Amino acid sequence: MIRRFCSQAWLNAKVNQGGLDLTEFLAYRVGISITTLIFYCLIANHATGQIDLTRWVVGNAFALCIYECIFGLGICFNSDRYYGRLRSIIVSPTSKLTVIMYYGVYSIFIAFLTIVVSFATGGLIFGIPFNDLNLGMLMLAISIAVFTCVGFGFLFAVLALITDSIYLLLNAIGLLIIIFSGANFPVSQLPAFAQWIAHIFPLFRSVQAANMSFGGEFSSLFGQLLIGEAILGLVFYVMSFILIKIIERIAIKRATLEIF
Amino acid sequence: MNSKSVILTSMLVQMKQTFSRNMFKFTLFIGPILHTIILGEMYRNSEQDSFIAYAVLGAGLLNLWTCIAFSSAGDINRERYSNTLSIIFSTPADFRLILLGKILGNTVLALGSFLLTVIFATVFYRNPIFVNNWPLLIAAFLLTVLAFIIISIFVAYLLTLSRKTEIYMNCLDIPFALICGFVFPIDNLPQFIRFISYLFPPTWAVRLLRMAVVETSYGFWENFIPLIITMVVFSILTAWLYRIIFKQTKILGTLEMA
Repeated sequence: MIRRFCSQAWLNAKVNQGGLDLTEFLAYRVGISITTLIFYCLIANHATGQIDLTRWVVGNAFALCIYECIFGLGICFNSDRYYGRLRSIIVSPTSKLTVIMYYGVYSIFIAFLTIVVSFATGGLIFGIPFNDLNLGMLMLAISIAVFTCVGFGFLFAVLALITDSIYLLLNAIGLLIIIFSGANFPVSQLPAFAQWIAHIFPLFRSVQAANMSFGGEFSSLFGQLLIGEAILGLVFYVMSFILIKIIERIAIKRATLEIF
Repeated sequence: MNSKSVILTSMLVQMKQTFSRNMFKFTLFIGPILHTIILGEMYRNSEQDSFIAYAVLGAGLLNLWTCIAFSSAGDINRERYSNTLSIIFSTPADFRLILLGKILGNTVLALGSFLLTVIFATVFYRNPIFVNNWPLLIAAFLLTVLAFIIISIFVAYLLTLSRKTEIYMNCLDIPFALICGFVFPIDNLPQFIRFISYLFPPTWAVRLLRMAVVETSYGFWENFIPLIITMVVFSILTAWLYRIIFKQTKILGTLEMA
């Protein structure tokens, strides 16, 4: 069982990277992430006149994981439909939760790596005070942020089974996460209802927690933020699982899953 | 079919096809609003000049660039997947005119996204948009659109032979906005990157556009002349690129292989 899970996860990773050579991988995965981080940090520098860009480096490094978790993971079932594999997945006796989980292994790995590499590179470019950094706190914040974002990505991967507008949905969600994460401006600047919505979006709490890892120590607020983020992530996983169960039943009954 | 009809027909078909795609509806309607919110909030506490020149104009330019270049490059990929790329390439009507029609179709739709950005920024931020010089604004805007079209044709040709159009398209979006100073002045970039910025027509066009909206430290001619030179250079490069691609396509015969 574990062996099969690992081989499927590995196969999925190979499918994701199959078409890229090393240069393309670096340009697509690393280059875009770092350029996007530099882009937002330079806007922040020009808009606010701030020289210390730590907050933006941290926030945008976290926000970059959406490329893998939302865009990458969100279209996994859509790709299966496109390549004619979806019917095999639905009729196979394998638990759909397992299927979802092996898709997530690669995304977790890449999202974690994206945040760490972008943060380190952005930090070196913009000279953030690494000596003030509590590495343990930051790593914990990154791990929980990735867990939640992957859960959020699963939810959209499942939703892709019942909509033909998944690219529209994912792009809108990607920008909304950037807005509600507080990576580029304080969420308190937004209207009250938008501030409330931010609480049900991933990264809102983990970005705040990650910012506390500079010159800070483990505190109850830090713990509360990360527990809140982890619970939110758990809710996304449960919702995805329930939703895929419902869709699976509908799919078997109607046999129209591959048709829009 | 004469050239004018080819361009017009291709443009109309492109607009109809594009408008039916949900993703383009995001690019036209949702993207401009969300980009304006991000940039508007980032520039909220800066002076009104900066807000207009970088948040409003910047969001508009980001969407214009995404619509024209991103979509035009993507259209090559879509034609390939629909098995029509080799057909439009070998049809008696010139492929260059068909591609130009497609890009013009995207441009017309993209203008709507630019307008939406300006309207949304004015209404949402209750910030009156003032213009320093209307004739310059109109001229600079037309030149900006022309600069984007020239770059788009260049990129579309460049990606004609590639099987990884989607990857390269994504690699171009944000880096180009960064290098050409859509949302902050290129003076904020390191010197060696600024030299790269100077090579692209949109850099100069955007500076002219900004001049029309707010007071700037640079003059008209010091931007207009480099703009014309870079546009001519890119047009020559594009014509040369087409000859190479046309030849390669005939030799390789793999245009429709994805």
